[in-house]
Amino acid sequence: MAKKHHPTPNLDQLEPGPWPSFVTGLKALSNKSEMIGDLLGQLEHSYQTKKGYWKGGTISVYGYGGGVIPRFSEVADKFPASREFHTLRIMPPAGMHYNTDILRKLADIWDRHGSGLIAFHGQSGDIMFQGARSESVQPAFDEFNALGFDMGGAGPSVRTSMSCVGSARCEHSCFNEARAHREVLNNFTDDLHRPALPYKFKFKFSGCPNDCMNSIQRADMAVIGTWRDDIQIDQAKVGEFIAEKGRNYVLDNVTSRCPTRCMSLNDDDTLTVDNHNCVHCMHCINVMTKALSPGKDRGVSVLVGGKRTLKIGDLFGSVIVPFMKLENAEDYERLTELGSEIIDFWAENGLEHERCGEMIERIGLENFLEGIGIEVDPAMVSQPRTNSFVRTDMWEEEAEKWNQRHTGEASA
Amino acid sequence: MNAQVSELVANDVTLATNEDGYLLDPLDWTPEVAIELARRDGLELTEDHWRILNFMRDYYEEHLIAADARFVIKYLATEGGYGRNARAELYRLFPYGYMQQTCKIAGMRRPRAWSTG
Ligand code: SF4
Ligand code: SF4
Repeated sequence: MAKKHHPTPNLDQLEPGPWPSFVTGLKALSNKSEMIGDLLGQLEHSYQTKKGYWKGGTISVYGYGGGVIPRFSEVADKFPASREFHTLRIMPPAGMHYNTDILRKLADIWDRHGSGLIAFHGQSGDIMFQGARSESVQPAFDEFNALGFDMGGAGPSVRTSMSCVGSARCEHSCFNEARAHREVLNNFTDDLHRPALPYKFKFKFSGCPNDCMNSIQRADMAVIGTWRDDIQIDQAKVGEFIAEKGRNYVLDNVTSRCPTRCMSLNDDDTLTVDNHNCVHCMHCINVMTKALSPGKDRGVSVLVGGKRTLKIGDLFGSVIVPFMKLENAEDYERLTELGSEIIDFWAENGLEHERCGEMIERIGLENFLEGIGIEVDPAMVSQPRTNSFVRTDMWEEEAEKWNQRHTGEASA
Repeated sequence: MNAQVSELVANDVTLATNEDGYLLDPLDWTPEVAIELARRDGLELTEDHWRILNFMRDYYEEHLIAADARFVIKYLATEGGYGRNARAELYRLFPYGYMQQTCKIAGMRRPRAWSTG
């Protein structure tokens, strides 16, 4: 099966070195896919001319407004086999769990209908099936769909979500990420597949403040696991850790790196945490995984407005729900409802191409909170004394209102 | 990328389109153009289609840009009386998507490429 290989002197330079190279992978694939052979040729051509040669287009599958990223080559005369190289975005299961049987079936479908090149997973959270001809898009999708998979998002819509592996494997997990992911996203299937929002909207779910999904920076609505009681300390394990690593190691790498200096190592080789001043940065827990763990009273914080640069620079999400439990069906329903409130308000008030966080910057957080029916809470701000956005001129009145609300809630 | 690479004949008039079949100049649009564009997509335009196309043309005349899908859906939900089923109605009529099909038949320029990130 000799296929035509283009010479790729520039790409070849990416092959040596200790790390796996995508060029080596593509070359191997090009032995059975002519499309990939020409793709390598076009990429080499791009490296030599320092220009990109892909242009977009409009391709979709029946009943869906998004999920296909069309790519047409502008140098198809030189590289005809890769003249159309569209990507299908398919949503992975929550937490990205697969068995090998499903992976084989996915790969087989893509060998039949596409180039064979699959990215697990793209930055958007989707499985990226790359390299389809226009006429293969619908039949490939139909087969993925029959396996139980659905299209991911593109365009001004709710996007494919991401959740960390969390409770399936990670001891830091503070909630059931996969369940939250499914329950919330299943509620927005239509918003995902039929774009009709001002711009994209991303949900991400991270099981603890390590935030492996980068949700603070990248999600319009981030759901991050946390706890509200004390860090759990197993003093016997602290002792074992010190016996193994030495006191200095703990002083240098744990206590002195606590950002709020709220830990101390006692003379009897036990640890004390001033939990009131702990900001849940996870550092000590990450270092002393056996001795320390998140508290027992676990739940999530919800942040809104994270995004990468566009109209204005990168934004981190702002905390709008400092803590909520996520245990029973009603809790999950509340989370989903909160998502709906936010999306509805933004769909109504966002400008074209304005992310939720940009809208909040424009109209003010206070107006946004009022719009989605959330009361301002001092716990939304971690350091009120040093935060320049905190105004104290109506402090007494606001404190009174807050007290009234809380006594009202307690007696209700 | 708005070079004419293709053309369209409707009502004996020849019009310039881009390679995906979108009109280069939305002002070229006439109902006959819509019928021809729809025919190419295998669609026969009914009264329900026309209601949407007319809304989009009015919107274009007023704002000189294509309406966002959300405005069309809102129009269908309120004035069309479809309520929460408005989006389903839009996709029943134009099953290959708002940008891909509705905008094209309504004579809009090809919308800018998807944000893919
Ligand atoms: S975010 Fe936390 S719970 Fe999730 S995988 Fe990362 S460390 Fe584990
Ligand atoms: S989680 Fe962070 S802030 Fe809290 S005690 Fe550990 S190191 Fe300090």
